[in-house]
Amino acid sequence: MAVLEIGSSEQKKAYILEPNKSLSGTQLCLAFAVIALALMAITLYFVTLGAWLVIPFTGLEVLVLGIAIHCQYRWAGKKQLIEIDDKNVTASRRSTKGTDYVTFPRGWVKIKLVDGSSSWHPRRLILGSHGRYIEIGDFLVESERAELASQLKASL
Amino acid sequence: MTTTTMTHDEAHHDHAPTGLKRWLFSTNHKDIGTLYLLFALTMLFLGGASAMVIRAELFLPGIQLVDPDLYNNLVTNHALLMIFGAVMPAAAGLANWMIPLMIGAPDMALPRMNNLSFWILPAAATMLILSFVVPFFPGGGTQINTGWTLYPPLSIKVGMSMDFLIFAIHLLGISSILASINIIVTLLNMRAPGMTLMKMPMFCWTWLVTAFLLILVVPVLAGGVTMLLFDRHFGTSFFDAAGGGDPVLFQHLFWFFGHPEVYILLLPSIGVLSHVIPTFARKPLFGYKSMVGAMLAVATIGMVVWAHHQYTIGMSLGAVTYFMVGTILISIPVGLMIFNFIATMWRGSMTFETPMLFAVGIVLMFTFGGLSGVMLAVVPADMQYHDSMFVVAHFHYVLMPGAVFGLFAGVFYWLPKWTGHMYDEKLAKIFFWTNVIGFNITFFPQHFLGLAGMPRRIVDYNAIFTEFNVLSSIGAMIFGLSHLLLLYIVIKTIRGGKKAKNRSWEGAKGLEWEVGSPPEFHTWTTAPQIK
Repeated sequence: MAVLEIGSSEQKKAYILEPNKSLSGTQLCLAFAVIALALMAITLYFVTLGAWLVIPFTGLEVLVLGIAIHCQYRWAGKKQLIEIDDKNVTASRRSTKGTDYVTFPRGWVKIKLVDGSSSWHPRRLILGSHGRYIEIGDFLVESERAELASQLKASL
Repeated sequence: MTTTTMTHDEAHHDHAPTGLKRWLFSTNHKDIGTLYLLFALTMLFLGGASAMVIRAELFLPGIQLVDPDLYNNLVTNHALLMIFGAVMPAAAGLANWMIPLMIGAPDMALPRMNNLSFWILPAAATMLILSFVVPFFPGGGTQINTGWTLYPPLSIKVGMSMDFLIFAIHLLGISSILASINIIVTLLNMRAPGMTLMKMPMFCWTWLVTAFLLILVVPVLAGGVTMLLFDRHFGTSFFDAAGGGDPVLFQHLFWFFGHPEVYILLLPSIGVLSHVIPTFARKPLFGYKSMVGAMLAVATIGMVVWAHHQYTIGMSLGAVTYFMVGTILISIPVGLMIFNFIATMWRGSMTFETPMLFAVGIVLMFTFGGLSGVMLAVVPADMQYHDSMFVVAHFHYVLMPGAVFGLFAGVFYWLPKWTGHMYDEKLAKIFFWTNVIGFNITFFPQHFLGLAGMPRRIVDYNAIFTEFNVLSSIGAMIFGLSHLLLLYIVIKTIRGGKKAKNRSWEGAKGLEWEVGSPPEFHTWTTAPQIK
C-alpha cells in the first residue's frame, strides 16, 4: 500500500482507493481502432479473393476485443475516497454511472468485514451507521481489504 | 491530513484455495501459468512420441512399422501437437506466470477469461487426439494424410477424423485469441505507474507483438477451415475447381496464418533470451530500442510474405519476386536481434548456467536455421528444395532452437522463482548437452538428405539415403529420451532442493525478482512506482 503524507492533522484522514491503469480512455480507443482497422483490411483482402467466411470470425474477434477493453477500462475507472474529519466520515464512490456521496456521523460509524456468500467469494468491507451501510473497496484483494478495515477502525 | 492511497484490482480470487477446485476454477495468473506449462509438457511427450515412431519407421528403407496413411497421420499429429499443444501453451504459461510479475500488476486484466482460455485447451487436445484415433475404429474413415497444412482437395476427401481436427483447430484458435486479448489488455492498461511502453521488459514486448499477430491471423485460419468444412459437408465449392473454386485459395488462407505463426512461436523465446543473456553476461541488453524496432519489423514484414511457402503453385513473376525480396528482407531485423545478443555478451562477465547455455546454443543454431531460410527464400533454389527433407531440417533448426530451446531457457531461468528451489545444475547441464547433441545428430543430416533429393512426408525412401537416415533416427532417440531427464529435473526441483533467493541469479534485474521465491499467492497488490 502506498502512503502519501500531505498534511499533519491526526483528526483528518483520507483514503483513496483506486485500481491502477496505465492508458487513458483515448489511448485505449486508439489501440482498439488500430487493431480493428488492421483486421478490416485483412478481411477485405480475403473477401476480394472469395473467402467471405473470414468475416464472421474477424467480426466476432473485434467484438470480443472491444468488450474486453471496455470491461477492463470500466473496472479501472473506479475510484473511492473515504474522508474522515472531526464530525463525519464521507465516502464518495466514482464509477461510470457517476459519483455518489454518503456521509455518516463519525462517532456512530461501524466498520465490518462480512464473509462472502461462499468460501470462494471474498469478504466484503461494509461501512455505515443507523441501518444505512455501503460497501467499499470491492476491487481490493483480501489482504488490502483487511488492512483498510483495521486502518479505518484505528482512525475513528 | 494523511492520505492513504490503495491501488489494486480484482476482487474475485482473494483466498488461496486448495484441492481440485483451486485448479478448475482458478483465476490466479500463477496457477493458470502452471496449468499451461503442465499441459504443454504433456503434449510435448505426446508429440515427441509420434516423432519417435516417425523416426523409427525411417530408420531403414522399406515399410517397417506403420502404413503410409498412418505415417502421414503421425506427421500431421506431430506438427499440430507440438505447435498448438506444446509450444504455444508453454509460451502462454510463461506469459501468465511472468507478465503480471514483470509489470507490477496483481493479475491478468481478465482473470475469468484467463481460466476459460486455458480450459478450452484440454477439450481441443481431446478433439485433436480423437482425430488421430477415430480412423482405427470401424466406420472411422481414412487417416488424415494431409500434413498439418490440410491442403484441399485431399483434406476434403479425408474421413470424419478431419471434422474432429477442424473443430480442434477452432477451439485452439478461440483459446489463443482469448489469451491474446487478455495479454494485450493487461499490457496496455495494467503496467505499474511510471512503466511506459519503452520501459517495459522485453519479454512483455515480445508477447505484446505475439498477441497482436495472433489476433490478426487466427480468424483467417478459422475462416479457411470453416470453408473446408462447408466444402466437405454443405455442398459449397470454395476449394473445388470442378465447382468453380480454387484449391490455391486455401493455401493463401493457411499460410497467411502459418507464416506469422512461425514468429508467434519464436518471439516469446526471443523475449526470454533478452532476459537470460543480460543476466548471465551481467550487462544490460544491448540496444533495447533497436530490439523493439526489429521485433516490430519482423512482425510487420512477416505478415506480408506468406506465399514464399507456395512458390511452386505457379504465381506470376512479379508476385514471386515480391515474396522473395520480402522474405529476404526479414533477415535484416532478425540479424539485428542476433547482433544485439552477441553485443550484450561482448566483454560481459559471463557464466554458463543452463539457461545461458541454451541461450548461446540458440544464437548459434537459430542463426544456422535462418541461413537455410534465406536459401529457401530464393525462388529458383526453393524450386529444388521444395517438399524435400531440407525443408524439414530448416524449420526444425528454426523452431527447435528458436522456440523450444528458448522455452527451456525460460523454464530453467524462472524455475527457482516458481518453485522456490534451485534446480540440479549438473543434471540440467547433462540435459542441455544430450538435448543439443541429439538434436544436431537428428536434423543436421537431413539437410544432406534433402539436397540429395529425399522427399518429405513419404514413408519409404531409396536405399541410397539409408546411412543419413540411420544417423538421424539414432539422434532422434537420444534427443527424445533426453526429455525424460527434463521431466525428472522439474519434478525434483518442485519437490525440494537448495532454497532459492528472491533474486535467484546474481545479475537478474526486473520486478519479478523483487517478490518472493516462490511468490506469494497474490503479488503486487499495490503497484510499484517505476522511476
